[in-house]
Amino acid sequence: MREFLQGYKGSNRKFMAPVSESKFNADVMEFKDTNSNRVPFQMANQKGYATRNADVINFGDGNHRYSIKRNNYKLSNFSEESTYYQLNLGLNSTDNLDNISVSVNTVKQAFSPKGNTETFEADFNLVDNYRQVRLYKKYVQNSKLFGITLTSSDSIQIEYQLGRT
Amino acid sequence: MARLKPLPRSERRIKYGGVANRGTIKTRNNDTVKNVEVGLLDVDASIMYYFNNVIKPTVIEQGEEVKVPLMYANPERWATIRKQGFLRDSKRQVITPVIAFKRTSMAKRTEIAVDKLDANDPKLFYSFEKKYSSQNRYNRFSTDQGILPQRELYNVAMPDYVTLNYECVIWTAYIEQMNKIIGKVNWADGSYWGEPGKLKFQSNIESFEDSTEMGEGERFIKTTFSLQLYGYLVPESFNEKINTQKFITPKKIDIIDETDMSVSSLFNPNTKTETLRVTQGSTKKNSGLAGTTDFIRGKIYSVGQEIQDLEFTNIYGGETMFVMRFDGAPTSSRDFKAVINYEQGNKFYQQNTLVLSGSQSSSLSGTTQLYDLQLGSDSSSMSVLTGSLQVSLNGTHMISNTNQMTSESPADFFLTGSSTYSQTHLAVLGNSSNLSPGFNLVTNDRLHITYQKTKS
Repeated sequence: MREFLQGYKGSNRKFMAPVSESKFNADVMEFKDTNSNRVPFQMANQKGYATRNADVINFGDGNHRYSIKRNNYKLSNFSEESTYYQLNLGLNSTDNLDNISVSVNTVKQAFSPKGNTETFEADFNLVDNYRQVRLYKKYVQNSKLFGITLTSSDSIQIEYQLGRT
Repeated sequence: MARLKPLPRSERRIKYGGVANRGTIKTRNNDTVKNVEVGLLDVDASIMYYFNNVIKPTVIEQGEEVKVPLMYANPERWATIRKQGFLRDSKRQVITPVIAFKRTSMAKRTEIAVDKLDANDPKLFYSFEKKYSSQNRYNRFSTDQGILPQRELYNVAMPDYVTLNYECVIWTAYIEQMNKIIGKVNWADGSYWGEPGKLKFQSNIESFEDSTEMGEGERFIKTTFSLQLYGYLVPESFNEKINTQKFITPKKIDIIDETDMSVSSLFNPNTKTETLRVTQGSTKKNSGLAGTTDFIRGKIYSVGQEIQDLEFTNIYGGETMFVMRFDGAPTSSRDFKAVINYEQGNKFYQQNTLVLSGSQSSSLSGTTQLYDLQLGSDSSSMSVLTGSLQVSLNGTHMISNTNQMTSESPADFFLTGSSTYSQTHLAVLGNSSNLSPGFNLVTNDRLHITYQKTKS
């Protein structure tokens, strides 16, 4: 039984098609089978990194997204408000936080069980469209204790992976 | 005889129109494509063809069907028709039935606003492509060099659109015969006259005039009508310039290096550009190998099925180095050559974080508390990657064994499955004494869980 049907040399069958409004550009490279059905892969040539589900990830983009960034902070790095401390991580305009872990003096802080932007029973949450961290001072909710009041000697470690816009 | 003094080059250019670009001159020696030519005779011939082969006017004469002859009225015949009102054969016998026609005038069609612009150097063309070109015969060299199929194009100068007027006369012996002929001719009005597959021209007949008269003691049934044909004329050549020109598209365009120049301005089919080299700056060169399709192949999984995956290789027919799976996902945890897209990348390499309370245990089996890690729709195809699971209880890290799958001491937790899927649940051991591993979780406890997924 023939398992393979190989592309014959010199045939005009096209497996790739550039997509662009300009004749000589290939803003996106689409991959297709011989029936011109798209396989779920495309290269975002113009941006150079993936933003859609079908976009192929290159090594640089993979490193950027999936390597775990780990930074240590002190209280002085945060701006203090009456009920919370806020930290701007200084991300590029095309980046945001995809997931995050915050520890204070090795004790892990947890975001809300409802999601990392929610305030319900949260030690911290994400604000500014997933770009800043808000760490709450100690407070009581539903008869439970949340948050932490920082001192200048506390060591705050933040680990995160990036998303891209 | 005195020898003529050669003209200076600048004056020759003015007098003879300059030197032709020899790059555009193509040999037509073995060409099977004829030069296009449409003349007045072609239009006249279309009338002859249409009367004889389509309208086929006939009359019934003494019980027999007789074909009505059609003749072009040359000047002598036309003069006789004008003088006597009918035609006689060589034995001076009056010819009936008969149809005679003569071209009387030709006028330019001003309502069609296209023109060749300049007869000496036409600027507007119709283009057509020869379906088969011997330039495109398959050979190994073409495929190895990535040579494009060339197309053989012919440009024909735009014709002059004209209206040709004809005067037609029909004679018959009886009115009954005339009625039938006029009925047929009138029915053909408005259609395109001419031979199928050749030149055809639209016709128009405004009116038929009954000119029945008595002559030499005989009655002749006669009808005259004016016929208009909307035609077009293009001579084969004019002033030694052939109006049908041949072009062949470039066989190869090599772009050797990157450039910020506008490539479109350099690429000109008329000059048959074969290679465009911009060598400034970089020493990198592309290999100039065959087309990309030689290094990508489709794979089917059963006979008659459509192609599913795309496989990439470095040599023709060589080992597969990368595979694009038709559904985007690797087939298993050992599908190492599968290319990953953004959706799958996020599934595999993005860490998942859950915050659960101690009471969210789905079951309590002995001293082990089970927590669903919420893989959702991925539960059937994916599982939690061993080694990636991290659990902290109320901010304190819990400990697992190296493989995270066993519950022996000193593990506080381990990775287990549900009744249906493996490696989808977290099991936290209860502690039997203060010194033993594990925790007895209560409602207010919070578990902070982080893990990565992998293919089952």
